Amino acid sequence: MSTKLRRCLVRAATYLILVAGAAFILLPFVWMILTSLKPSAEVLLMPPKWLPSRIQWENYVEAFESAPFLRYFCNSVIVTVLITTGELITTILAAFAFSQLRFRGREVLFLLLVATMMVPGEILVIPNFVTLAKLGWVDTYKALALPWCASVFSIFLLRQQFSSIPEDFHKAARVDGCKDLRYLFTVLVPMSRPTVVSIALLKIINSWNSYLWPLIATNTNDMRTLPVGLAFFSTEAGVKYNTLMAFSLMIILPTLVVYLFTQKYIIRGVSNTGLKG
Amino acid sequence: MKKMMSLLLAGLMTLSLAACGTGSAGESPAPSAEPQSSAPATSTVPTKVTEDVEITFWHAMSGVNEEAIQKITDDFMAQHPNIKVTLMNQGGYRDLFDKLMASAKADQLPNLSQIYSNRLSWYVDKDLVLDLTSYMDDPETGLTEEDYADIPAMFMDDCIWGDGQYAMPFNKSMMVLYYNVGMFEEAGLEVPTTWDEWAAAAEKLTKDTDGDGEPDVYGIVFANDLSTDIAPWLKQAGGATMNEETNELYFDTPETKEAIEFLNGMFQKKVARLAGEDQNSNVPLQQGRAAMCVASTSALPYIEADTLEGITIDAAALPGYKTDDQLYYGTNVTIFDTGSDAQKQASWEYLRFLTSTENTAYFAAQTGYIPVRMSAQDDPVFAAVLEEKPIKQMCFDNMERGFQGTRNIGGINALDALGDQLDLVFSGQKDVDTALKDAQINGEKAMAEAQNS
Amino acid sequence: MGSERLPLRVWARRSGLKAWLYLLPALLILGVFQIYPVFKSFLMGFYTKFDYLTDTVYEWGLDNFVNLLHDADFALAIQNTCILVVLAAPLSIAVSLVFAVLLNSNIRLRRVFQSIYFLPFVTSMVAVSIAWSWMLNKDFGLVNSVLKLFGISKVAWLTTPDMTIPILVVLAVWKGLGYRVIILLAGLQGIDRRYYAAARVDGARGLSRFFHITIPMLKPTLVFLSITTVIDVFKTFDEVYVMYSNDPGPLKSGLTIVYYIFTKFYRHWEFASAAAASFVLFLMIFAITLLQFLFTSRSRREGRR
Repeated sequence: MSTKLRRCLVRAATYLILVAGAAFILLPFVWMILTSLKPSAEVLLMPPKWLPSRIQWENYVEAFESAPFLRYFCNSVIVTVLITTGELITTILAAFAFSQLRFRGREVLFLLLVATMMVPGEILVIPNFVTLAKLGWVDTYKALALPWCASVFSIFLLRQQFSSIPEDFHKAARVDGCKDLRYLFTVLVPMSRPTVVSIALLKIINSWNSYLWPLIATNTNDMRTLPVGLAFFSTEAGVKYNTLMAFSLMIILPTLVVYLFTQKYIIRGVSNTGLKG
Repeated sequence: MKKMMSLLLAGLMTLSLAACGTGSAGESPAPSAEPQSSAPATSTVPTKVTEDVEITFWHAMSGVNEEAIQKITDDFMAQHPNIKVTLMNQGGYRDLFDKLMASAKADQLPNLSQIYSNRLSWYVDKDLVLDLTSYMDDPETGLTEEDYADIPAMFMDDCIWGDGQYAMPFNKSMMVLYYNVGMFEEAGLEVPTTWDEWAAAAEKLTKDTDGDGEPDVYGIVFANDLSTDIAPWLKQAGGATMNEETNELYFDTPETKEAIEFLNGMFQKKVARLAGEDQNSNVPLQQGRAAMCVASTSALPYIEADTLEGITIDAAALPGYKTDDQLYYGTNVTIFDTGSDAQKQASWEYLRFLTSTENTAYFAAQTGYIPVRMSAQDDPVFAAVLEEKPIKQMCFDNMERGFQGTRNIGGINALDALGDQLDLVFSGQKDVDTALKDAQINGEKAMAEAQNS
Repeated sequence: MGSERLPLRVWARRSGLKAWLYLLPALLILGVFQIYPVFKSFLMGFYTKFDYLTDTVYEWGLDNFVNLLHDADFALAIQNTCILVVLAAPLSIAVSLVFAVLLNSNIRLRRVFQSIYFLPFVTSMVAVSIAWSWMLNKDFGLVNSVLKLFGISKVAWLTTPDMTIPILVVLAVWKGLGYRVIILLAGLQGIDRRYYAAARVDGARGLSRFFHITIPMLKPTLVFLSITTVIDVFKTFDEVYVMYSNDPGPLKSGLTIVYYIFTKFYRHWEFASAAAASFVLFLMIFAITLLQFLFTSRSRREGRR
């Protein structure tokens, strides 16, 4: 009886926290969506009007037409795919070396890499642009993708995951004559699926939303990506908030879909484990 | 209708351009309101570019501004089939300047770019900019005496360093005092023309209807970056921000003190405030939460589009004090010293086209900016605009008293140091004397540091 | 490690070469686009007279660092940043952990909740910060109207200097919640359920199971998160830049170190000062990270014994 009551209370508290958290998270988004549907005269009203007097879908049309949306969209997809694939390959290989192989200077090298995360990315933009210009790669997909095809953050995350897998597996595999590369891709990676998928997802979102680099690294409309379009809504005298919000929401949508699709790989259902209490 | 208009425009433009280029007289072949002489429509615009060239122009214009540039550029390419101009929107001004910096470092500068002269001075100092003098003196494709007389001296001077000219004025606007017409009528006030009248009006128009000690209507709202554009008040008090030749700062002078004390008086009486959360100073004015604001004429399209119903907004020149100086700002277009001779020549011809009477008039008619030539007032398209929008006429009428900001390398840094101190003064945390002393010291340090690279 | 060295020497040498082969792709890219520019920019911190464009240096020295020491703004930036890190980093991890554990339990609508928490992370910070600044508006913002229901009078959130850091803390928690939850969930999923089953047999209650199984098993993930979160918060910039419309908050109350660096570099073109400041930022984070590493590896060793 008392345990049942207790459990009930815990349950109620759990849901209360979850719902409160969700409300806290959602509010600004509700505001964004409502703003994106307002006529421009109602956007900056003080006191604000929550609901638009009339729903203005034209904002979305205008946002769509203000930039070569489809071209930018395709570029965003291409660049995101390139970066994510590239990063997964480099990350998996490097994390394997850092967690399963022994070599001189392993800890020092790792610390050195982690150290580079401590430098604000803003100051790397210009030197990297200069490097790419010297290579003659400005305004190419290479320039958009290559600098981001490896990430210390991901290597770090995956190394932590790999090192939580007991070394006995590796030893056993070696005894069985299993080559490292095969062990890595047939045992380690599948065992770390939630982490690998998380890494991919985080990378997809990051590269999809990146703004400054695509602007710097490209010179023509043919090579630009979606977030660059955000710049078209601000001028020195003001910002068109309703179309800006509409455009932002259109940028969010694809990543949201990818997220909804991948989240099941990050969480295997409790039922899958068969060990539910 | 729109199509017809643009056809007419295009026609006019070709005609008058030809006239401008050859300078020959003839009978006007089309029934137009064009007051100047026109050449036969068949004559081509002189060009020295014989081979096919491509040039790039980087800008930070979006929306109607971008459409206007595109249209002018298309006209240019129609007349110069062998020159291809690629327009590249580089985002906002900040993005554009970041990108220019990266490109300068990588030796990838574009042929032409929009740029503020206080940024351009660094590039001029580094010898990266083309001196336009020889192009402007060219008998065929250069500028005539009339052209020089036509472009206001303050705009032209903004493009000259030493003996060289490194840019042409492009999109210009004026700092003005916007005001709520209804509020002034209700209070029986005239639009202020002096500091005293201004302060009195601000006091009278400030209202605290709910009595919570925080005004619901402020007399006057200033832009958040007041310090960057502090120059007009210092000048009107007989001072200046800094010396362009010697890099001397005038932050801690009696004149500056007088100007800051005047502004601070309004802040301390709670009849003036910065835009703060409203971000742009014109926003509270548009919504009836302020009676006056100081802003650029480039905000005009926004004010026209989004002002609350029942509110009428007009603008006047800034009230004067010892002098009546008025601030004009905006970017110029520069040609970088990059690419082949043909590209440079083509860039110059494009730049000349961009700033011709007809095109500067067209650009100003479409946007919130003002033309960079006096003759634009006689342009039929723009004359109609002037008729309709007296604010733009006012910009012309005040050009005599106009000036543009200083261009010292590191000047922005020094002004920011002043701005930090002004924030403290306006928020009541520091007295004017100490603040200006500190501003002088910090400003000199910031400027020196900016000049070591 | 010492005891293993002798018999494994041959093997170690071989696998040493192999390890470098595995590392090659990542190192190549990181070397060119991370390490090299970082190194170059640190060098620039020591330039005192130079031509930025051609990289010609006329004078070297420590002037930039000396200037930093005397710059009240830099001191303020360090102070603001440290307060922010001390408050925001532990709080973000704690809050995320609570939500991750709740989500990992058997609840309804788990996916829906999870997707909601993830939203801030997929959104561009620009749009979100604008929405936040509207919500925090003194006169007409949502936050103040909710407070009014509880009888609390208006707070000038965005124009009161003392409010800036709390707002940035909340924003950091809010913004990172989704991604930390994802990483923690991935970690939680890695815990073998048999541990929990065994604990249950032993009669361990919920909270004690959390502290005796979940936390220790989650350690690699938590170490990772604490290090990266500290680094992240140290690098706070975007939120301030957008929320306070290109201004470091009222009376510079939101001036962070990266904000300082950004202004020096992009607005003031004081490249060497910006480089010197980045170097100092680097050293600060590095010291803290080293401590975190040492602390966690020592406790790991102790755990083993």
